[in-house]
Amino acid sequence: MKLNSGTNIKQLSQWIDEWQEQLFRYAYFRLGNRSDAEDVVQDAFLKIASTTSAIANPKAYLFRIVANGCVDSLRHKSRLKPLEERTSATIPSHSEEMEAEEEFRRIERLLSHLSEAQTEVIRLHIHAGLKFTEIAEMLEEPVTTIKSRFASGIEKLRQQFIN
Amino acid sequence: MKTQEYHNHEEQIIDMLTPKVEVKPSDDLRERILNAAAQQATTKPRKSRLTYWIGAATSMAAVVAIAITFMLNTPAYAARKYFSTAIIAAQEAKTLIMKLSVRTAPDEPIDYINPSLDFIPATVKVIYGEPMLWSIEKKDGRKVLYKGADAAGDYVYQWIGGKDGRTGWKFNHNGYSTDELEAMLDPRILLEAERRTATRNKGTNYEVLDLGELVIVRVSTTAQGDYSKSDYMLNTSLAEANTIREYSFSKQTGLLWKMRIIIPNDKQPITIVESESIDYNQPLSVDNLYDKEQFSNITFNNVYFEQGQSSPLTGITADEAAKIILEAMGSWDSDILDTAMYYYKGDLMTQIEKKYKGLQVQSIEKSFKSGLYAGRFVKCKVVLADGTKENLTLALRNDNKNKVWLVDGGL
Repeated sequence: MKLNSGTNIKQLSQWIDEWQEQLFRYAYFRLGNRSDAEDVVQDAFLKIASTTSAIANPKAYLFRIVANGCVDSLRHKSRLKPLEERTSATIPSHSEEMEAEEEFRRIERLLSHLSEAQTEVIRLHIHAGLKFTEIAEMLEEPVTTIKSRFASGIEKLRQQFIN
Repeated sequence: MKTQEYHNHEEQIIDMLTPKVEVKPSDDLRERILNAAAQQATTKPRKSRLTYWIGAATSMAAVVAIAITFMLNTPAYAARKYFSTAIIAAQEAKTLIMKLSVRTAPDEPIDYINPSLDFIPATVKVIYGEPMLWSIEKKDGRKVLYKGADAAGDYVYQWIGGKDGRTGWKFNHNGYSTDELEAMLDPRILLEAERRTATRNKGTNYEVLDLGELVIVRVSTTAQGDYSKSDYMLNTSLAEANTIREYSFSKQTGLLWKMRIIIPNDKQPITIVESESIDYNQPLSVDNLYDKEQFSNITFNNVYFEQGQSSPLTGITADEAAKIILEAMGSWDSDILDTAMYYYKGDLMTQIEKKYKGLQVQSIEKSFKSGLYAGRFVKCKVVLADGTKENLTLALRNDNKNKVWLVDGGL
């Protein structure tokens, strides 16, 4: 089936197979829960499927949409913060899911010491597994800037936790 | 120049930032995306899918339910969107008064349901704020109240027995776990739970119906918990029942307007909980949450339990504990019963003594787990002092610091 001028189901399936896990892992450790992360990933694939213009780098495009989707979702969640805090204790959870949420909170605590620009590069590199060149292309920044943000973030945490 | 030690430290930091748990998307995410993309491709360009289908729906008779799930990709996805909208819409609410009809017994725990019982009115009152103040009241039955911290402490109070109730319990507010019905205190909590369940629970199905001014989201879930050994707890609470939960949202405000919980049955579905009214922003003060005079006459016992490891009720099985406890009831051994019956105080304990003192144990079966209950159940046969035979199913739990078995129900 043709989805738009540039995408068909086969193409979309390939992209999903190739990148959904990376995108989900990134979104999960950005948002801290499965349903939000899957919503954001689903929205990104639907958006790319409905885009009529040709996309030079679909991977970078998808990561950009997921990153923006995560920001929107967090903005929405920040309005609900007290509620989220209350619900987290009441909702039945599978133990694996609870472990993952605990892991999310642990990493969030570490990243809270860094600037947003530093955390974004760290997330994309460590959680999503993107190379610095891919991150640079996605964020439309020089590779040197990306590497420098990563290094300064790690250095700040090193000083904080090891020195 | 960076030293080896420096590099090691860097690696240590990167290791700290690396998730130790592998997370993977749900198995069906790929299929959901492809289905949604296919549906998306069939809609006309340049016109929002929402506008198109709402336009179509409003042109038809309101009573004709139109499945609109496809316009929002998948039913679960559509349901999540409605839950999210309602959560945001309710965010501005200052108070809530919700009147419910629940098939339950008046004195049983707030989340207890029983499909064979009649409806009992229950009222939920909430004053939103920090902290959220609230009460849940079953008519002439159990009441739960949080009225904020005061000189007495920061407690959630619970008591039973209607107007004549004299015994109650108080729980530290910090860490007090709300159960299923208490989630109704704040429809946002309930809806948030539903929204999150939409992906997590593999046994959940969603249906979204457009009725003109209302949208109904119907959620079908299977009972949570383990029933492999016994179905004793099946259908005893909303979480432990196969349910259809029906939420009606006002399309104009996005707010939850009505809710209904149904247990599907081979013969006929049974409605277990139904809202009679949900009113937001009605004038409500702390004094309106509870009957002050009744409250002042109740002795509240702190349920925080801590018992030394020397208790005979530690380090044994639940059936062994049941034997010790029942035999102690026969001779009314206060040393054991004061511990084992920690949750039964005041007039409740007096009633139990009156009934069970002098009993003789006939048999005790092997304990079993059922549903979501943290403890174990033990079926016992006893003969009371007046010769009456009685079958009991004791609920015992030892999830306290020193693993002491305590009676939690069944008497």
